[in-house]
Amino acid sequence: MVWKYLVVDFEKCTGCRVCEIACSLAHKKGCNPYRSSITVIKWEKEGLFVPMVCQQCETALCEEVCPTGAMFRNNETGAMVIDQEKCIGCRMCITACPFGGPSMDIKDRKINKCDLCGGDPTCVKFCEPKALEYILLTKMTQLKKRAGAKKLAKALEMIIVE
Amino acid sequence: MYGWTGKILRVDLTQGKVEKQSTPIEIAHNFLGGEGFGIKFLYDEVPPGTHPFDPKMVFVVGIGPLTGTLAPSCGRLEVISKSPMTNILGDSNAGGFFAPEVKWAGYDSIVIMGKSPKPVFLLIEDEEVTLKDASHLWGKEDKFEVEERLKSDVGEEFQVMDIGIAAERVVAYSAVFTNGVRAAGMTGIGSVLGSKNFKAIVVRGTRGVNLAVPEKFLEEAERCHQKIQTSPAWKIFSSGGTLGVLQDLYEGMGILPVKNLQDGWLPESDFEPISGATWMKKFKVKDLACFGCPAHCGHYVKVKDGPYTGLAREGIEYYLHTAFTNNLGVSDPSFGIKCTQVCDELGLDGPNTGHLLAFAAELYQKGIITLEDTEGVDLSWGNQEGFLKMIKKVALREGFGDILADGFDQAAKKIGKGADRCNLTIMGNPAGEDLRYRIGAALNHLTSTRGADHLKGMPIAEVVEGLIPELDKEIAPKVFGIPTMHPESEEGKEKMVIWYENLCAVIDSIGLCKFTSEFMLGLNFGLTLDDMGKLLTYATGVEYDGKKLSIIGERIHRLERAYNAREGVGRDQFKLPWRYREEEIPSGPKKGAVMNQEIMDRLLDVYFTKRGVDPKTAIPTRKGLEEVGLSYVADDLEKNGILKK
Repeated sequence: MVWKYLVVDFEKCTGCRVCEIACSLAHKKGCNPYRSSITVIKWEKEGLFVPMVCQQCETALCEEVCPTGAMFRNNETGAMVIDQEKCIGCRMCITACPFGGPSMDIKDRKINKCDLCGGDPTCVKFCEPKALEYILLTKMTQLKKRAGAKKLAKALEMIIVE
Repeated sequence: MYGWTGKILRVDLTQGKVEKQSTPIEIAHNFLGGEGFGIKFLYDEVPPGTHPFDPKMVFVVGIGPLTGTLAPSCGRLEVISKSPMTNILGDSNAGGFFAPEVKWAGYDSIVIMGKSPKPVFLLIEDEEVTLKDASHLWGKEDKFEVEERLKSDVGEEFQVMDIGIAAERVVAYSAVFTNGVRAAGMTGIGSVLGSKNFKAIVVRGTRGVNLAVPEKFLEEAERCHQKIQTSPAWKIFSSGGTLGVLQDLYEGMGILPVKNLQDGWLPESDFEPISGATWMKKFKVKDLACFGCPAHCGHYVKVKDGPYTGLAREGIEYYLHTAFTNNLGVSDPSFGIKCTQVCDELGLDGPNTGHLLAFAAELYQKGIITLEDTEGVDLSWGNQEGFLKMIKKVALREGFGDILADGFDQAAKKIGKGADRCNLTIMGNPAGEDLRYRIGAALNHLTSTRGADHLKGMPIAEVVEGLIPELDKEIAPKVFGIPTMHPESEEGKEKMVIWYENLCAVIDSIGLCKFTSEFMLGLNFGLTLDDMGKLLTYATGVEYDGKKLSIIGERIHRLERAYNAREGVGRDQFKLPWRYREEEIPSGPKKGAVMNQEIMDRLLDVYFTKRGVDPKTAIPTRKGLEEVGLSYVADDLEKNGILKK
């Protein structure tokens, strides 16, 4: 199965937090950032905004620590998803994850976690500055190199960049 | 309730009590929220003639039914009270992230009344609402330090709405701030909170917004987000914001504010260093957005050379830049950023402060005030040091600053010696736009219910589609029923102004932003009232369409007009500032332009008639009020001797 990856370019993030509401509305039918699987961490004085979301790790610590096997890989999308029937809400996945991927829902006390919306992420649809993108691995690996090369070429005034 | 939360917070500062009231359904359906709720409470609950600083005055924190949802640009805060500068309706609107947090905490509005014996702030954590001691936060000259202190006490995830030391000293240009830098400053009602010893609202909300038809709302929100991006204005507005658009546009049109609007244009060599294009290249680092907004018209800037090197912050937009550079004869493009920082620290509204300095500088230029009057502060055009000193004096009410601190009209009166010819106010509020060329803009500044202002409904299409003949020919008759929208055309201009004013009243009541609506992005390119109706319908479960919303906008406007009439506004106050009536623009593309008050009077006659207002007195008629379901207001105006039986 060829998976796509939810990639965050935090330098493009304008801090609008539409992703948080899009996620909560798509999954929980309400508009509430505390029920979202993506959160924008903001340092307003510095103008730094970092959207934080599950990285769908290759070696998923949340899966390794889960006592009931509730956390498992969806082979279609590559996302780590939760079988809510098996989940006992122990929150060890939250403890194990280095990035705050999973969180506990403020209302129903279930574990929320990005499931890539089954392969069509809603947050990506709403991100106008394209800080969030859903792309193939083949494109993803070249992104940073290409962005860096562009900066160099622009500095040398060898290409016209908008 | 859906969309609305169903709860209003009532804060009685005299008693030190907080009450939760159910949101009256009739008021929600017929006034929407935000500005609509604000004028309703202001009119109904405060006796006529009440001084803005009287404990009986209310201060309304306005939130809309769409605030905090997935609707585009739904993070705006509307605040309403009575202005100490104008003594009529005082209202203002700011972006940021505060309003959604109040909505998620569960409140449709916060109504503050009374006066606290000691400085306090309001702490809101969902249902837990308490008044807390703010003595340790009062009297500080740097508002940013206070905000840091508050957040380190309660938590980073809290949102703060607050005032600075200028409001504590009830200076008439005091703003209410969100996120430290977003100022609701026009009409200076931050001072009302200062008079109440009320420092801040600190809030965290985890309850979210419930929608009537979530799936349909999501679809509609996506359509609206996409629609906004198809506007032809999108590219320059979303990357340049108002500064990137208006500074260069106004110079090109010859209506750029120069030295207290004595002139409307600068020669290229003088303009280039402070043009919008230069500013963007020098300072802009990245785009910033308010809550929920795809247009991200804000900027993050860094100053890398000159006397203010090291300054890095959010901002600034057109009015701040123009008010502190060309309008003050300043050629340093970073000065606007510096002054904005100083104003934000002190809690002053930037554009108002800039206009105040321009007023004072013209008085200084003409010898109406001297170095002796200003305690040695040199207010020559372009003297940055002098202006920075005077900003502080005004905020702290020191010396000459105290004479300037109560408002433009008040200062002009105290100074005398012809100062009123340098005063650009309408009903006490300063007109920051040059009104000598655009008939619609001039009319709107007269009809604005908070006194001279563009954000109550300036017909921007006049100078966009109105200047493109093919578009003008098509749109003018279809949308407004007039032959042309051209700025120099008089016929039917009142229809344009009414259309724009109703649009703006609705937007400021439902919690959205004018800048992603038709107001800014072009007719039928930004969100229309029909688009907003669909969003509202799916959010609240109550049917709304463009027509119904337009009537609500009409109702809100007429209630505001009634409020002003009850506060004593008469037809004679609908007069352009002296400069715009009597002094021609001296140079540039609009050299010779001046606005004819007779044209304004003719248009006002028609405007008032269409608005259900007696053109001779500017007082709403019984029929005009009953038409929009406000017969109780007609009764009240009769009882108060404003309306004859």
